[in-house]
Amino acid sequence: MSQSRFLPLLRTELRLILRERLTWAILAALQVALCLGGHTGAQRVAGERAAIAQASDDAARSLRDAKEAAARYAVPRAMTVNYWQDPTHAFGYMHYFLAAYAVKPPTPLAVLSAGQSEIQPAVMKTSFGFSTVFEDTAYELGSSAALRLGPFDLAFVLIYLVPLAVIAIAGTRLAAEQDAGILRLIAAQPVHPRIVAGAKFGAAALILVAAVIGGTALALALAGWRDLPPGWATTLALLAAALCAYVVLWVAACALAASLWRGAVASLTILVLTWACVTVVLPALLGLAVDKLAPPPSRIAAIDASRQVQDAFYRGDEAAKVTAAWLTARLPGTTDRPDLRETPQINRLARDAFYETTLAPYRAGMQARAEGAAAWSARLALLSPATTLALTLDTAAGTDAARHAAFLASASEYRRSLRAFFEPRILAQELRPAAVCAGCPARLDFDAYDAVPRFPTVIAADAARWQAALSALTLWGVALALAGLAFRRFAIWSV
Amino acid sequence: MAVEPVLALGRVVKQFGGRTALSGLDLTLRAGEVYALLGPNGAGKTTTINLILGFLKADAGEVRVCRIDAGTDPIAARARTAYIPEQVALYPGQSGLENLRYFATLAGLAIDRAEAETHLAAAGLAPEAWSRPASGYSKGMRQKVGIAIALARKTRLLLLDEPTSGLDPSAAAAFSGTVRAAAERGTAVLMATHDLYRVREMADRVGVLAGGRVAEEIDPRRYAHTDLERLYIARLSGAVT
Repeated sequence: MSQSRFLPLLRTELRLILRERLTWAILAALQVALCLGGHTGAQRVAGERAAIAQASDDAARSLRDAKEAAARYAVPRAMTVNYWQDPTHAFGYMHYFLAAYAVKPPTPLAVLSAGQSEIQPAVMKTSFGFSTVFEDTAYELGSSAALRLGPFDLAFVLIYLVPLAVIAIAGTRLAAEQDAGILRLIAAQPVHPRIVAGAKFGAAALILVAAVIGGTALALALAGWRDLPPGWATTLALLAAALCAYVVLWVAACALAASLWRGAVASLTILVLTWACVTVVLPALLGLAVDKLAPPPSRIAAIDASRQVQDAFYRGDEAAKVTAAWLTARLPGTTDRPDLRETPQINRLARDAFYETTLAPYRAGMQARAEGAAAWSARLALLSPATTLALTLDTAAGTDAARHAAFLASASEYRRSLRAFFEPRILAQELRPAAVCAGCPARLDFDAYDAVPRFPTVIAADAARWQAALSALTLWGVALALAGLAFRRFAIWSV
Repeated sequence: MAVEPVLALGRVVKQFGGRTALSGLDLTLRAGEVYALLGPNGAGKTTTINLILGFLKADAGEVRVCRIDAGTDPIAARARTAYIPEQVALYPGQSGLENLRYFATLAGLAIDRAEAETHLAAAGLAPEAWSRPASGYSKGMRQKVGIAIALARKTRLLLLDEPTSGLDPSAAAAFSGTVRAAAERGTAVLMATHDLYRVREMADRVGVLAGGRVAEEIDPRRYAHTDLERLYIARLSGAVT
């Protein structure tokens, strides 16, 4: 391509596009949509942060209440407290005072995409004593490959509306000239069609990339996004590269449509149908494929199993047998203490362990499905540019299915770690009850409030960075392939 | 020493499917000559122009512009050729001046505003129209911008496709004058037309295209307008006298 001819033409085409009123109308509408998307994202993130802050306050308040109660009951007083009112009782504290939360904090780029956040909670209270398979009882895991017309967030604008803006601005380049008869006069000049097409679509790409990147940055700024923690700058740069590739990819599609020389109406029809296939039909098919490849186990069956395990425990003398077996396994030397089996605390611990063990296959099945669906979604997402970008934005925002599956697994593990912390202390208190002082209302001597395990909150930058890199590579690959095809087809004029 | 022809078509054959558009067309055009190609619709006039511009490749024979094979090196051939189509279509949102500069840029020329105005003036476009959007231009005004684009190119060959069709008499007369002036500067002009009146006014030679070749070449100055018309119809009907 002759550089001496190309650059002046590119400058001229830039001027031509920027002088069109339609260009400014489309760019203005896109900017408004981006800002609205950013606002939606900011509101969602603010809501999540508020919920997390509320959980944190609740945990702090319960700890403070427990400590105050423990201090109040640690002096002789003529009163009696029950174990569920007594924070010095390890079992009582665990079940009736402790407020422990599993928390999935928003990532630094959470404003970008709501992803699965509207159906999956960022905060879950850890509870004991229920026969349930699910950590989150009200939410269903979704497939990230199945793009849905979700909230009007930045991801929606970038994935669905940006291609339409590209088509509106670049979709009739050359094709409109062909319809108007200008192409014949253009073709009569001593210039290769590739130079003309390169200048026209190159100018459109430059304007659109600047508008989309600048618009997204402005939307983020207006949404109150300021600081970027260490480790996220690379992710942000890769995301910008992926976004540029997505825009260039659609401009290349416009060039390819123009190279068919079918006129403006045909070009627009082809491009809109392509948009529908890439952003709606293909993701829907990929969503179905994910469900086939990682079929979801029946939640109804799991709920039914939960009920059955409760029935089984309380049927006949099953509860006594289970409790005896559980106690023998943990404290082999207590066969001469039949009274222990009768204590409600031991009985509850044995029952919860029975529920946990019996429902473990259902729990593992749910977890395996969540992880499997997330893995298949990540693989299949690469088959459509829209799902590729969607998964990247979700991953950067921390609202993807894979992160939620990991969060659920962490929440389960956290619940087990809390049980492992309290169980030996409860057993020790049952074996050798020791009051804090004579005449104190405090029944026992549990005071390790600050040693209770905390949920390890994780904001891993690696997954977002790798997904953004993969997405940028994939999208640039597709964009260059389309541009290459268009370049080949522009070998001659069709006049 | 013989003057090298600007345009030389030798035994050119062009077929579309089973239909023969040109069947051995020979045509030579020298610098400063105005050649009118007459023929009914479908005679092959536009095919001939498309071959010279390199939009089509001949099935046999050769098309040379300034010795350059237009079939194998169309861009080099077009660099020596300016073309004004029957309907000059311009970017409607741009002025005549901007359209002229855009097409000059396409041709690899960097012309400033003053030079562009000179060409528009030479083409006969009124100065008050130079900066107006071309969407409001009449056919004649668009034609004049087309002429200005051609003049700016300063090529050795000028191709005109039905140049006076749809122009009012005064615009057509002005156009004739512009073409003659270009020829006097040494430009070879090939025009495909039906307008026998302007042919007689402008052309040095007339070729009657029939059966895919030049059936006869006529010196238009030897005939009155009515005689030229009678002769043209007779050639087409095969009644040669």
